[in-house]
Amino acid sequence: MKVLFINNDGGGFADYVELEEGTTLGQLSDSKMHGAKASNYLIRVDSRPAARDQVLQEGNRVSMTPTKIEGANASLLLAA
Amino acid sequence: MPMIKKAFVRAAMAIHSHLARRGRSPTVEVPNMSWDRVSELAKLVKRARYRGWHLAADSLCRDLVYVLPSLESHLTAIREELSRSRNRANHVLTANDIYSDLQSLEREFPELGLDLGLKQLSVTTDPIELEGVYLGPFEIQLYWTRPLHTGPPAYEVVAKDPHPAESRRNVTHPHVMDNVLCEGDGHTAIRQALTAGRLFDFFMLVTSILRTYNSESPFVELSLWGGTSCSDCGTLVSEDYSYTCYRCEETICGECETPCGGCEECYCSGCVGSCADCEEPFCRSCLKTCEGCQRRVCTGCLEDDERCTKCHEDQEREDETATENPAPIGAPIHSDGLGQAPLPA
Repeated sequence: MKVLFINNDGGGFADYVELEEGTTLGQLSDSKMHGAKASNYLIRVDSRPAARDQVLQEGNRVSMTPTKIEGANASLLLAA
Repeated sequence: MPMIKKAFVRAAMAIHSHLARRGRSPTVEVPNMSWDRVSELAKLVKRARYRGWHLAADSLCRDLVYVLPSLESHLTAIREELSRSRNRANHVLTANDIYSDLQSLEREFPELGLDLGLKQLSVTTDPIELEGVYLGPFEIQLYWTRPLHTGPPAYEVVAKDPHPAESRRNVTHPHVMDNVLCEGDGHTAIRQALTAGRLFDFFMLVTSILRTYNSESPFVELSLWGGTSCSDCGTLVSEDYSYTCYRCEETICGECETPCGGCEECYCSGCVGSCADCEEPFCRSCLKTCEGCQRRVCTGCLEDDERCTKCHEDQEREDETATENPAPIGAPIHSDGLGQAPLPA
């Protein structure tokens, strides 16, 4: 099955990902967060709060949004 | 069965229709607004340097450093958009998805506003407090037909209960100036969300930025939020380290504060002078006019005869000379310099 996965951390790009039937939200988020703390992200399915054990369905839209985003580009400031 | 909100349906269809139209005819929108800001600041820096206003120039340079990344991000986004648009699958949400997002926004935020005439969708955040500084709630106003990279901003962030920085009243949040958010790390994600019509993601991204303080490059540091600019040198000073001029009540920093040698109150440079004799700083009230030379001197340098030390000594010398060489009685009076005034016989 296909779900739309949106990573709002950084680029904010949306991509369709192919998942096996019965994949849970927890399994998908673990594979996408690369060891980052889950508490630092707001993870929604079709813009609604969802539990880790929620089984994903064909066509779901899963978004991962950091709870903290810095409002300025520090790297450029340091380079200046 | 859940009730269908007609206003949401209309808004979802209008937003989807607009996004689909924009998706069919991609255009390059040059970031004129960012460029104009950079250009204007560069001119101001040049002018300030030319006039020797170095503190003002430094402050403007800091603003420039802050604005430049925004321009750079816009240009990068255009380049990325152009390279992606050739083969990209179109991820614009359906009207149904947009409708769901509107419902989620209504649940997530305390207030949601919709104005189909103005093509504006807004949400109000909970009150925001960063590092103990209360900033109040903010209304995020999205104008869905505005272009993303040019003209007026596609969205504005308006303080509902403004608690702006004391020194800059147009800064209502460390990363919001003139209702425009400096998106920093969230820039690309916000653009992506708006392009695809992911309204919920857009508002959540903006809210995440508003709830985060980046101490590296705020418009005004939170530690100086209650502080004001020194009226003498322009430096930002916190309330705890500022002084008030006893005369004009302007705020001054510890470096510029000058205590009067007479009354010992503190003054700004505009309200303090120096004694013409001893050159120590004194306020206007503590400086007196010498009856001899009319210069302003402190009471310590004023003798009993209301003359400064120099005039007093000159007077004493004249008096001594007059005592030693008294003018002879009946000496002729020279008319030189007296004009034609008749003298009594």
